[in-house]
Amino acid sequence: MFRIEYQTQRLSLRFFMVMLVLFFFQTALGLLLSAQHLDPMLLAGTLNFNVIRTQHLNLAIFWILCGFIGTILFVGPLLSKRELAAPWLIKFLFYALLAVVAWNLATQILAQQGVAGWWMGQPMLQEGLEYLEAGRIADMVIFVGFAILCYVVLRTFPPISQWNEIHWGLGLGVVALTLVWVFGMFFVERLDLQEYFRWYVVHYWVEGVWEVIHIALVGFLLVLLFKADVKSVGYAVFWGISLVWLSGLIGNAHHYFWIGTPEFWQFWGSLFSALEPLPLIFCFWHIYLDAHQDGKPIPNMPAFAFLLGSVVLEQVGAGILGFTMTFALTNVWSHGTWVTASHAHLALFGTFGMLGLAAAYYAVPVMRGVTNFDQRPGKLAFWLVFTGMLGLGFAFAIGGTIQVFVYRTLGLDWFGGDVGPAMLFTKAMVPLFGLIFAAGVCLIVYDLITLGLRQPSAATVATEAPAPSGWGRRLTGWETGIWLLAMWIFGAIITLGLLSFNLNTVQEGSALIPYVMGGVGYPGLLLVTLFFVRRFLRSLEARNKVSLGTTIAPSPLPAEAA
Amino acid sequence: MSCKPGELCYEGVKRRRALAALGLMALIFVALSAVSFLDSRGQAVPSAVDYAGVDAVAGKRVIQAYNCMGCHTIVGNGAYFGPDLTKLYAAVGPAWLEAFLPSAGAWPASGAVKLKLQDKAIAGEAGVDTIEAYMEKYPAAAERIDRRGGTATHMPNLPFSRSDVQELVAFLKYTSEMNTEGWPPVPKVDGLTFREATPMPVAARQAALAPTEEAGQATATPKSATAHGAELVEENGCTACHAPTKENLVGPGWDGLYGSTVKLADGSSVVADDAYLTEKILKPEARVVEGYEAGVMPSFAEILDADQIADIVAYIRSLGGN
Amino acid sequence: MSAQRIIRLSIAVVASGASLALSWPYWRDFGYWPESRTMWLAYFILGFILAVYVFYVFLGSLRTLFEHDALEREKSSAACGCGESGCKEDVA
Repeated sequence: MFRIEYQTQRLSLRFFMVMLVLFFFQTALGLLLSAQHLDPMLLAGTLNFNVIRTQHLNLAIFWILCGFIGTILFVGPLLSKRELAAPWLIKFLFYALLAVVAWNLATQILAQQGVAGWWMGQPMLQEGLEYLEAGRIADMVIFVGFAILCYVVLRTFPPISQWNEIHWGLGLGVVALTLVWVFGMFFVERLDLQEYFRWYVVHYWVEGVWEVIHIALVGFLLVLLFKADVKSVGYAVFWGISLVWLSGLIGNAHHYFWIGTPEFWQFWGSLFSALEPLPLIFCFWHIYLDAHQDGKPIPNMPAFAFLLGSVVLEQVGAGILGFTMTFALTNVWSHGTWVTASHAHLALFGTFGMLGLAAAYYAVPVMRGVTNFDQRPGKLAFWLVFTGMLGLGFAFAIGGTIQVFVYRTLGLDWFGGDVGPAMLFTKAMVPLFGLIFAAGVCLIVYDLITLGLRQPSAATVATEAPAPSGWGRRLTGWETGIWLLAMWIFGAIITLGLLSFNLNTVQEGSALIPYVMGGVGYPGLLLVTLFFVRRFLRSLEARNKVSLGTTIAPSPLPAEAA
Repeated sequence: MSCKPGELCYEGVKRRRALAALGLMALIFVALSAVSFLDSRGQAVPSAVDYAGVDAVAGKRVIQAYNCMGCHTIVGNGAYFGPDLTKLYAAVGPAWLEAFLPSAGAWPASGAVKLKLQDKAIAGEAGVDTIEAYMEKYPAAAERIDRRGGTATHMPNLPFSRSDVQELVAFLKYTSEMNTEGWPPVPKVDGLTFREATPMPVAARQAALAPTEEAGQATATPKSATAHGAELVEENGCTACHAPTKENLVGPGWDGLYGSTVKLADGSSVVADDAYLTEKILKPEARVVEGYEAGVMPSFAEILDADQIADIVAYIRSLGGN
Repeated sequence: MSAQRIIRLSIAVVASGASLALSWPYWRDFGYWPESRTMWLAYFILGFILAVYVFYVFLGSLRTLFEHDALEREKSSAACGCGESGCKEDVA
């Protein structure tokens, strides 16, 4: 009874599997980078830091895209009520993706020899621009891949007159994904102009396109998980997307503060990126309301946990941490330091990575025809990666605060002799939390790859549901609001901490105020986040007890919606 | 479905209004972008920046080819493994960069920088031609030489050619000339008060504090030729490219070099004896060794006298070989 | 104009005012003509109005989200006895 409805949905499985493999390697490379931060001579000359970092970034983009493609292929037929158009093109897309990943892996190493493959004024093999390191050849293949995705999605969808907001979101999302990519395909002589266009790709991808795809997919996953009403989800999707663009279009200017573009960007960028958390808050309330529409138990906890993680980390990593450093007055300090790495890790993995994992946890059991799978590894893995990522964010943020003080305020620019030693303790924390994260990754990869294939252990789903009291009692809207408010209060403390670098006392050499504010703000924010997600998930798990009573009958997955 | 039943909610109007606002924002964004890159803004452009006859556009290609952004930031964007490069040229000057880049695995000592200042083009770009004036004009270079000179860096030696180096310096000259609207912020304190910072080496600090006559007396103490040679190779930055081991950094390592048979680029071979090593120091272009590029090693004819070269050769001889 | 809308508009104005204060680039030097005093004034006014609009839209749509929820809950009958739906303002 829960088989998939359309055979072409099965094509998503291979993208989810590749996503897991790339995710694993990306994490491993991240651990290696953290080791190189501790010992900068590690592998120097053999595999330089920049080559490994490039792979760490590119694999992140690749596996997040794999998650998107897998999810889109899985929900596409459900949204269109028919099979995917041109399945052979999707198979081609899959092999093209593998080829591009392998090709990029090989060509990035050439940076150690300074070989970019210049031909007709363009770097054919690799181009050494952060996030867009792929050379022109890979760029073109990627462009063709996006075009294929566009074609498949648009051909599969019903006629435009029958589109609802989710169709519009996904349709615009994939088209914009392709168009925006073009801005990264030129060699630009001027550094300011090159950075200007580089952020078209990076910012508009993340904040314009990915966010839109994210909202549309979260919306539809909510429809699937909770059988939410498509119309009211459509309302939320429309206004979510509108708010993303109303704030993010000019909000891109927060990348134009210091790249050599005029001063007025500082005003426009600060003001509009201050609005960027609004769609995220909106999206968060949307998921809260849909999860509490009725008191029914959640059949697939890992999928929901990752979905919640995605929306909460979007709120915390992209929303709050992004907010703290988005004003020219704070960004002048945080720019180019580890403070930004904290935001980037939480936002990118949290928002987009966790969405792919949520979709995989939803789709893989359905495609493998598993009715009743052991959800414990998935839940444990969620807590490992969630805790690990919050810890990483903490280490980066504290390390960054120290870095700002030493590097910017004191003007010490010797990374080996001054900046590095000052940050040593936080540099050591990164691999520590990285290991927790990596353990979670291994568990996810093992669990999802073997799910439905391995022998199910006895007494699988009959897990103990927490009592509907204490942490498990019902989560009301007011309580959620207070949790959210607490996060924003800590966010405000962090913002004030970054602002305090402008004070004379700090500039004269006293780090007390920013250190205390950062030392309170960051752990406060991340702990509130951790406990809030625990509270949210416990209250949902407790529903099993409430509704099931004595009978232990796992409720089936809502296989087909729409 | 957007409001309570029986209530007018004008959802369509609201949605059209949102799209109109979005359109207005797009217009604002395009207009601001258009005036951002006009010539009248007076921003530096790479095609107009010239360093010793090399143009900064070529440098942009080099900086991308080596993926410098993968470790460093430039205008604050990139990785946070190494320092920001934007204003580096203005801080340390061209001679220090020229001395550093060919052998990035070691921090240049004053000798290497002094050597670069012999080059008229570099001295012209620096605006000074003595090392003392250079250190005064570029305090960041003085700080690097005093605190770090001669020690290993965390950067790998990259295979920069002579032209790569010049082009990179040209690009860094361009970024230094850029108006980045007050970033990075200028520190208001002398950073060396930081507790955990690596302190100034005692020798450098004493040399800075000691009156000049004392320094003169210190060098007068007699020393063996080998020991003197060992000092000279540090002072003159030889060890930035040559290791006293068998390891080949930028140039060949010295361990076992003396007396060995060296294969030259023209196919012939030569024994590395006193005469050959002396010639290499004075006229490095005369006989290029196979596998190495001409023009990487500078001539030391203007810097070292005959006695000093003899001491250096003695030191290399002491490192062994046949 | 209903009280609801006045409240929403006031919150939007206050929030935009706060954002504007944080975004004020106090080191501006009026160097280039699009950075002249007149243009800065135009930026501040235009930016402020747009920011108020975005905040207002946000509050309005969030409110509708909660109204939807209440409506649907009524529709699906009060079997689960779920609680309130009125926490719109605590996030602005």
